[in-house]
Amino acid sequence: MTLSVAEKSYLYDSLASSPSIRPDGRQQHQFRPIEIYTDFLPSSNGSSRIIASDGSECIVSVKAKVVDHTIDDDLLQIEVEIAGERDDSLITESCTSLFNKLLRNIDIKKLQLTKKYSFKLFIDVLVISSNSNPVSLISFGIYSSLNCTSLPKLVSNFDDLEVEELPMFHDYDLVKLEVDPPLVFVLGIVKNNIFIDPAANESEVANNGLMISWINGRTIAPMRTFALNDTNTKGFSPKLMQEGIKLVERYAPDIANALQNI
Amino acid sequence: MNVQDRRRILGPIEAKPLAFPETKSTSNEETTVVLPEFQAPSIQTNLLKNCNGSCIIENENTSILSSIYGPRSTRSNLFESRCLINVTIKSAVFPTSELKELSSFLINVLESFVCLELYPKAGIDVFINLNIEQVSDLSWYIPYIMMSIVLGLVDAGIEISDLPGCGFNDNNAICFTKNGSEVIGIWRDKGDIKDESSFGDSLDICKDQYLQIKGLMASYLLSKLDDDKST
Repeated sequence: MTLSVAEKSYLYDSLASSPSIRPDGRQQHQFRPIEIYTDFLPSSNGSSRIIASDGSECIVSVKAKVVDHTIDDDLLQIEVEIAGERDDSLITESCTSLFNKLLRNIDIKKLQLTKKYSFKLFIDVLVISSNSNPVSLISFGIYSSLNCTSLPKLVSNFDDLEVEELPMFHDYDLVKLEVDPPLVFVLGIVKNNIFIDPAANESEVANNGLMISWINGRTIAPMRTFALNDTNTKGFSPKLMQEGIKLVERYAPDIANALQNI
Repeated sequence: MNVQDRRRILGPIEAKPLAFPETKSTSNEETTVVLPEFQAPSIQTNLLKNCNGSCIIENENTSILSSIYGPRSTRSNLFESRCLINVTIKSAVFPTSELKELSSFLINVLESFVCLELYPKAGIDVFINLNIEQVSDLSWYIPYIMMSIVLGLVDAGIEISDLPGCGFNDNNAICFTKNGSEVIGIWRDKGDIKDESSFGDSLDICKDQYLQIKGLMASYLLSKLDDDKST
């Protein structure tokens, strides 16, 4: 989005005022409306399609494979692809690295099938279009796709160290994957104000951005600052970080609840 | 009833079972790695002749070399009213995607204190070489990396608005400027944030470390200035 100098100045002043006035009238903690469709890819174990109100769109697919966890203990692998960006571009590699770190917070015991074998989940993310920072959108997509993931039901023994056999699965029955996926929240900082989910025009004037991860009532790592634009980046008061954490801790359970009810 | 024929997998009755190696313990107990405290490193600038500025920061097991090229004209045909910054980190120890994530973080941090508008249509390239003997978390190296970049920029004669620095405590690497009144970056890779007060304490410790680093950098630059005057 390209804004004129006058537009930027007007937007900055209104966002920096106390209380801050957002261009679309949202409150400090309010998200833009999103549309989520789940389980629409027939060849995946779980999938989701998420569309933000500004036209940003992201597709997430979860596929599972049985692996020997004594050999391969990396049971969650994520690949991010962003349309219009090279695979080795800074934004794509940063997103992949960030989400791989984030998914370390998932309890991998839930993926264990037998004493020797586990499911390995391959999460593929495709950002079809993004008008503002896609991190939050991707995280919501991963959350909803993991929530609707079903895996084949094990019918053989759990203890396969004594009876050496490969895991056998039921022909039809599937079991819902019960994991607590983490969420990432993007916050925009303008002067002394901090707000959740900055839109493209707010990102254009923001002084800085803050990424806070949350899982099941806890604020977790990774936590990062990142620039939302390349012209207006500035430092901010240390108090704003604590305010951001407080804001996420207060409203994240509601968002997780809403995503779970899909 | 399960009527599947498993003989193909189990083999004949007289077959001897294979001995499996011991399974790895799947407990999620986090091994607590005690990261070493901040040690005042040795500093040396203007080492490399083929770049505009360079700085090496060394302590017992780590040597971080920064080389700054620029401001130099960009190949882009577009008119850029501000300078573009690029950071490349090389290390044999960490995966490329993690290094690129750190590069992206450092570009954002640099954009908040380098006077970019003074160099239109130009680019600054920052190259960092991490030579590490004993591996810690990547976040533990950020204070030293920041220090080497800042001194490299000063050596290259690039204008910066302040002497920023970074402190590390409780998995938080926090970059400060303006005597600690402003934060320009935070990088946290591990651990939960237990409560607000512990985060506040960590913030204060990082700030103290930043002031210590700033003092180190300032005294090095002043002593270098005195040396240059005397020669």
